[in-house]
Amino acid sequence: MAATDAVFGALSDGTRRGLLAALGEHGPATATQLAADLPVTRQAVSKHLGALAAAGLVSSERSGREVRYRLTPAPLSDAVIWMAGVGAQWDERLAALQRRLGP
Amino acid sequence: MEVTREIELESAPDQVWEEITESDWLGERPSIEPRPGGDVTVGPREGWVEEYSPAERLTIWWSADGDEASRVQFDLEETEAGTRLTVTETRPLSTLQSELPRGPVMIAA
Repeated sequence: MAATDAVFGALSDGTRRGLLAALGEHGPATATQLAADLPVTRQAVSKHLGALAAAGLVSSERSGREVRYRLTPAPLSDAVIWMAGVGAQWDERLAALQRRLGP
Repeated sequence: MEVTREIELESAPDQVWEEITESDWLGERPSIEPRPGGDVTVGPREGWVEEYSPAERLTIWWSADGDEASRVQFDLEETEAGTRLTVTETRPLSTLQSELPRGPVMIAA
């Protein structure tokens, strides 16, 4: 159960879900590439990738001077990737709804 | 497979309902026919209405580009400050599939 807790802990953060969705959609990428599409710094992305790696959701490999991250194939991965992607979409949509209805 | 999100909004349930069903919040050129069985088109997604209870509950099914269909339920609950909106998206069909027995089923005579 500890592994599942680690997975869902890692998935509790919107940026991390977005990173998983991006890796699922576009394949392996470096922290720099991932940060380019997000409103956070490369350092923040690296930290989030570290949390995802600790939960076993991504693995890293060195390629030249860069580290590339990829989704880890796991028994949970189909459901996890779907939940990460759909969850991230609803976080965005609901934030937008709050702005639309806001004062 | 289930994703649930809850949000507190400072608008009355009927305003939130209008935004969900009539604005382009969910996607471009939205069209949600206001009756069970009605057609749903939102951006690239198409589907149908399961439940249409104004200012209370909207349940739709949608899918894009031949993807597996998702069921999306919006529950609106009046609060002192406005509305609590709960969104639940599930993929009931894949759950069903994974629960089906694999291989031949033995039936005792």
